[in-house]
Amino acid sequence: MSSETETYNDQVVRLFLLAAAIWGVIGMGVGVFIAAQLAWPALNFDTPWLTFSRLRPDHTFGVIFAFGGSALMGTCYYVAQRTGHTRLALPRLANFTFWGWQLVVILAMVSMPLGYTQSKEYAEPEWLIDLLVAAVWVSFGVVFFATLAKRRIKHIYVANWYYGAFIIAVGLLHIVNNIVLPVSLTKSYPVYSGTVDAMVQWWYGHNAVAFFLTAGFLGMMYYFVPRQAQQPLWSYRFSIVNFWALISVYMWAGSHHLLFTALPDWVQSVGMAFSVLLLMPSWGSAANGLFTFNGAWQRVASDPAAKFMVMALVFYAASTTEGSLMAVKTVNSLSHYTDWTVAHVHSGSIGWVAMITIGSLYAMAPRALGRPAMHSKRGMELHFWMHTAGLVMYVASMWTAGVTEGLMWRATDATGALVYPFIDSLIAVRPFYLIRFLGGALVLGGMVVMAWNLWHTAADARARLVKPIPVPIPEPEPLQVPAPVPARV
Amino acid sequence: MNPAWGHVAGVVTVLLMLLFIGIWVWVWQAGHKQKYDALARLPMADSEDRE
Amino acid sequence: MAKGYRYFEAIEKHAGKLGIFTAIMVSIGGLAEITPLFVEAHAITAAEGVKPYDPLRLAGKDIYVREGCYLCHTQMIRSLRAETQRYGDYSVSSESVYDRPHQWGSKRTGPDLARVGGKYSDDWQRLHLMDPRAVVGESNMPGYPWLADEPVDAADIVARMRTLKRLGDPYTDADIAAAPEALDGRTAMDALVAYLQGLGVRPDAEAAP
Repeated sequence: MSSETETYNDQVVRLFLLAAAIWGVIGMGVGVFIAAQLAWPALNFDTPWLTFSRLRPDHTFGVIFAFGGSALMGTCYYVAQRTGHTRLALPRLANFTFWGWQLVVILAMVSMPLGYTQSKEYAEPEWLIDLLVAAVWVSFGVVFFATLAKRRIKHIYVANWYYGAFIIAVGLLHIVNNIVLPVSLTKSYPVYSGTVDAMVQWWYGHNAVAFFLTAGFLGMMYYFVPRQAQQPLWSYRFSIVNFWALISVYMWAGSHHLLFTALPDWVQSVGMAFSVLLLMPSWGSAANGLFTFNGAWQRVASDPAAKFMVMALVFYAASTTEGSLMAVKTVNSLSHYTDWTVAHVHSGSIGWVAMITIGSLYAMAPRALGRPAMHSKRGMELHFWMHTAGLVMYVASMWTAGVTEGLMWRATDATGALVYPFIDSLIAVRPFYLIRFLGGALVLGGMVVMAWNLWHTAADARARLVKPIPVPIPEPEPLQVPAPVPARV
Repeated sequence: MNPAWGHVAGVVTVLLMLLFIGIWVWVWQAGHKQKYDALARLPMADSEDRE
Repeated sequence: MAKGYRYFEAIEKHAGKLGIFTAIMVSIGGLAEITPLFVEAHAITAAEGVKPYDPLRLAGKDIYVREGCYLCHTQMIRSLRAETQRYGDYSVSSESVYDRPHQWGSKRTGPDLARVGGKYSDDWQRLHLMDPRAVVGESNMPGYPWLADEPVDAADIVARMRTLKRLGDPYTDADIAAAPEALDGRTAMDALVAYLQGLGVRPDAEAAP
């Protein structure tokens, strides 16, 4: 190959892969620790920065933005290059997005336990960090769209649509939700207060789920699932319909987090109605992914990466169904504020998000690291079973705990008086907190196995022996707008 | 709550509905099948497989 | 019709157009729900008797935020019988107009606190915050003993009151000037207890919704 041959830029992809593996272990490690604190409160050690209420944002930020964010940005760069048959645009800016994002994560995860927080769920970091997030995010968008603009394939593959929506919507949400007036470098007050702040916050919180944890990871799914099944997408047209339906419906549903609250009734009802509508695009995407494996199920049996993907899609369908159900007022009156919500979130995050990510990382890592396959297939298999077992333990225990709490809080005797003081519900769910801790520990153990496996798979990359992969230059298509970039041969 | 918002919401909902049906009709046009089939094969088009 | 199709195809082939249309589609829902709230926001005024936090309670509210209490305690009594029976009258918008950000919460590992003010004595609250299991044996709440040794920084609270005033909360210059005296010798524990004891307490008890 001549030195002028255009190659894929996998350097920055490898960095994100490494970061995702490390943050996955750290983020889930914090999660297991705070789960233990709920079971054994002595583990708070009366130390400010080790206290549950200060550490929980580190868990959510660590798994969503550090682990999920690094995996999304890495795979996004990988997929945009492969589906456009072009090298990543603006390599320096791409490197800035990597180092900038790592700086964001470290600053956030150090400052939050020290007490610097906005106390807006999933948006806790203070305003200075928010500004850095915005700068990195805009750069990420610029690199992504600039890469799309220089692609050599006429149509934009659907995975990129989802990545694009993820970038645009998350940027929008982040900025609107974090408009504050600073008091000092470490403290600020939001311009919104009370009910308006609650609505803005849950519009953000819900759509962070929609566009970070759903659209972004669907982008991953739409590329890596067909790739791993070695079959084309079951229905490409269906994926387009689902895309527009998903992005236009999701934004309406945020108010289902605030049913029966001081939010105006009509906003609550709209949120509930659109949450039910959401079933359509959710099931559509899940079915599209699962049917793509049709006729290739024997491959799934022998490929742990594909197993992760299939299980991810099953949990995507299950948790979105559960989500729509929980947005119905009757169900919500029981489930809200209980551990049922925690069960739901984790069936979505450990089931869908983590599993599609792990499957995609196992599919991408050997290619990005210049190896024919992962270092240990048995390690992948072990990871799959640890993760699945941990997930089932987690979700089943928290679901039972949630229903128990919901029923105990509303139980009345023949005279109409409440039966249980609040503390009784906590005593009743204590055993489930223990099972949840064990389930979480299994999932964390699986992540450690993955980190070990990736470390060995990366042996060539660490020795700087990986040869860049040349970009296959397709036949130019006539009348392409914008004109394709000529090959540099 | 100003009742006018109800009308605005209704009109927006109808428009979104029409748009949605339009997209559905559009993607199922027979003429697009070939193009979409080709696109769906894109993830497999990498020539970098070492297996 | 054919012309229309061409337009849609243009979206699929142009990264910029795809991006713009995506941005429009994702914005509609949010705008539809949040704009009316903004428009009506001026209509939500403080409930009778709900005043901006006095300096000590403001300091306490910010301690509540800093320690992350909202992660286990809600301040939102829903309009459901079991909730009003357990916690008191359901919460209304006019009660949280001075909460930046709102502290409605999303999870009850511990009970709702919207109307906890006056339910327990100051001493109980203090003891409970120092060591929750000393008063509630089965509790899994962490202790917050460091609050007792932490003085409230009056200059910081004055700066915070000025910022809140700029955001529209009705503090007078006299209120702000009086803050250092009100905070003299107070600890973070005093502030947090004062905040908790004020939650849901309205001087005019007849102003119930």
